[in-house]
Amino acid sequence: MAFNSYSYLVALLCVVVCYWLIPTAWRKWFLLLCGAAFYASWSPYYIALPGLVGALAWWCARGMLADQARLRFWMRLVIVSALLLLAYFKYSAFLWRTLAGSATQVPAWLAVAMPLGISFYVFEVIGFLVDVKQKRVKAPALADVCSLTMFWPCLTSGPILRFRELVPQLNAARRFDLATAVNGIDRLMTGLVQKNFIANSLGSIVAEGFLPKAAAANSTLDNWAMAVAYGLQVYFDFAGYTNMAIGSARLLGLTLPENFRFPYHAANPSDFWSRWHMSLSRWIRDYLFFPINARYQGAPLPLYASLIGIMALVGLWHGAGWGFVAWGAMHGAYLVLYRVWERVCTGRPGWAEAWLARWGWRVLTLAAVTLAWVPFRAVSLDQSLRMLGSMIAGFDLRLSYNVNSYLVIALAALLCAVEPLLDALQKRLGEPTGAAAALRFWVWRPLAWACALLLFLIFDDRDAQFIYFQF
Amino acid sequence: MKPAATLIAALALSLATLAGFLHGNPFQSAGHALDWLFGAPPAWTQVEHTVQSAEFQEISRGERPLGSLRQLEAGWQRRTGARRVVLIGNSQMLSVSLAAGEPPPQGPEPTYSDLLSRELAARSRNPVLCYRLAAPGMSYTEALWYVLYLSGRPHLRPDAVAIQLNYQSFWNGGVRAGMQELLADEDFRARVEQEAQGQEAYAESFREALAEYRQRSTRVAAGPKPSSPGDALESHVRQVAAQWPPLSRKYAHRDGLLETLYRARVYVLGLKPTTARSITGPRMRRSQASLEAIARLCRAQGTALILFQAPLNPQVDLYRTAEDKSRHEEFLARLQQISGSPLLDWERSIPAPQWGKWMNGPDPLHLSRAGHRSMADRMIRAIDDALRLNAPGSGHGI
Repeated sequence: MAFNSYSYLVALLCVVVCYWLIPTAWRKWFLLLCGAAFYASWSPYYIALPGLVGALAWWCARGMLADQARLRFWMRLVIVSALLLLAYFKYSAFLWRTLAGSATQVPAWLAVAMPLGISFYVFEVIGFLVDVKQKRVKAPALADVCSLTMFWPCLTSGPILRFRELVPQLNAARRFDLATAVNGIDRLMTGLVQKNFIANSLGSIVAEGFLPKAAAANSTLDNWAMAVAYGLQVYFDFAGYTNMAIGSARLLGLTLPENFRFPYHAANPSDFWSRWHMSLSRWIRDYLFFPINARYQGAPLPLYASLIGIMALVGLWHGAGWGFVAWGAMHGAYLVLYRVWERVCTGRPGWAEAWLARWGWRVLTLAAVTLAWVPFRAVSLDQSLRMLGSMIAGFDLRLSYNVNSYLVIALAALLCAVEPLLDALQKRLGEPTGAAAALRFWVWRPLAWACALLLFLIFDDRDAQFIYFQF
Repeated sequence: MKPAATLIAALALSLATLAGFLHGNPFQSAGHALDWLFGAPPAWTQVEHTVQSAEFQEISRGERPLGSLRQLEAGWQRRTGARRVVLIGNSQMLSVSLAAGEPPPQGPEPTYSDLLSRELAARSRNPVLCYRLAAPGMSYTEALWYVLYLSGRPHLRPDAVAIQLNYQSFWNGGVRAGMQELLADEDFRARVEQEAQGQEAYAESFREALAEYRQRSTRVAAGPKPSSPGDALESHVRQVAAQWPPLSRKYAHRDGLLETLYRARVYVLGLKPTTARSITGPRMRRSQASLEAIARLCRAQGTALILFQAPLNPQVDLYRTAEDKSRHEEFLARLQQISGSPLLDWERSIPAPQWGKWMNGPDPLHLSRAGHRSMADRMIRAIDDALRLNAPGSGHGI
């Protein structure tokens, strides 16, 4: 049941109505049940998996809290188990092909379908255990831990939640709040339009432009256009999903962490990662990068190497393929480059503040992020190298596709460019009062929702899945 | 009002507005407003009510051709002895754009394919059965798709295939979803799979089409046994939603929106259908490879191939540079060599007064009433010539 399906919208309406009608004490259990039903709607065979991972984490957390002497043992036990589970489902076939050769048939016991959302709830569970170790979480209940792994808005593609930001909200008694619910519907509608209208429109252009034979014949300009188009498609697709997840949760009175903050407006590579897939960046920062940073403080080379290694692993987390690793490693290299620049600028504040440096980094970041999307989307490393070669060293400005394709890309880019302006304008105008508020609520908002639903319906494509579902 | 009731009322208002949108046609109205604003000719000059005849045309215009082709097969099976010709082209074969001085249509307007089909079928001696396989924005990969299908059905094999060649169509690519339903024919599917494994530039488009078809048919074939419970629920909800009449028009609304965006492109950005262009790259290669495959297939099977350069409004030049034109001509020369058929160059055959106006400029592609008549006469002569060359006894088509 994808968020942009008819059945999801009907089911969400029923769930929201029931949720607010039942007694507060039942709500947590009701959401757990909904999570199970949502997961079963995708795959009844793996329904127990997120619950089992949650139960295992709860059992180990209890062990950690009860047996401080063997705390590390308990934590490692569950982290290794969760990672092994992830490795089996997600990477075994990839490892087999890498070691035995791509032409070799993968044995049936390794070629299993990946359970939906496993990458996300495994990370949530690891984060939970680190929080238990660091005493940020005290005496968790089994139902609470399972609520984390089975919370349906985030089950398939995040945002990656922390136990301490979700469970207290689930356990608190809340009343229905109109402003929160309206905001939830706003987010839901925004997500529907981002996915069905924008991302799907870009999807067909990207699909053609990245076909291996087509890509081989693309001009420099075509390759840049396709890379930009894919960057925009991923952004609107994933931001659309996230908006729908956040909107669904808001309708239940729950607040989820944001995942995007105008990423293509980043001032530098480091800033990009504080704006792109923020819940993943936060997880990496807190549970991987901070410990490593603390370990290698004062030793830049090992730190830089580990930074590239971490980002390559982040790439691998996205998918079992060398293209994903290359994407991660490229981002690692960008981050290292920026760190070196920061080091060079230490003691020279004028350099870092110079207009040229600031805008130079902004433009370089945008170009570098766009280049990195090529291996992420290309069918093979060979294709990536060919496209990247043309983008960096070529100068062929022919247009090979219908002019409408370039216009769609340009329109999506323009929309992305003005997003912060629209946001700032909205904040500046503030919430209207009196007649203006009534006009906004009873005229503009229903009109906007109706327009969003119309775009959702007329650009509906049942076959177009969310890109991040495969991760 | 209580908060929940307020929200329900706002939602109800939104749904009512949505129903209003679906019931009306807001995008088409916006398109008409743009036309009025930028001085487009009256809407009736773009004739929408054209002749519809399942006997002479694939009436779904590429959206559901299987039914049309099955009907044609049954019809042609009954008419033994008559020669058969298939015309393949784009909207030039489907549309009429009335020129200045031509009166509004009084009934369904015929295009040149209708005129020649009627006249050739009505001949008392040596009748010829003509059939139009045209779709808006048809790509040459789609033309190959059709020719492959025809070649695999004994009762559909034509004696001659007429292919409309126009420069701007080399920019089109892929096989539209509607045409993929032909893959239901197992022999055709096997043939497409074989082509998809090949190294030709169109092979990727065939692979894509096969993948899309498989994805869709898996769900359709699953029927009562869907791939997941969520899938079953979704199918059920969609079935219920489909009962609501305004929703069945959602694709018309999408077309309306895209048409309006196209008009905005033409009026505001000045990127017109008459803007000269350089066509290169993967789509060009795919189109060329598809046409070469058609030529080879027809030649190998003894089918006459009528290659004609489609008429172009003399007020328009679509080649951006002289090099574009010479490159295109080089390809056409190569195509003639492969097919062994002469090229009929009709690019400048229809004089300027026989063309209509489209939006705020000359119509580059769609013929007027007089233009269609003139084109029908030309095509009848070409068909007669081709069928004389490919006289009975030399084998029955592809």
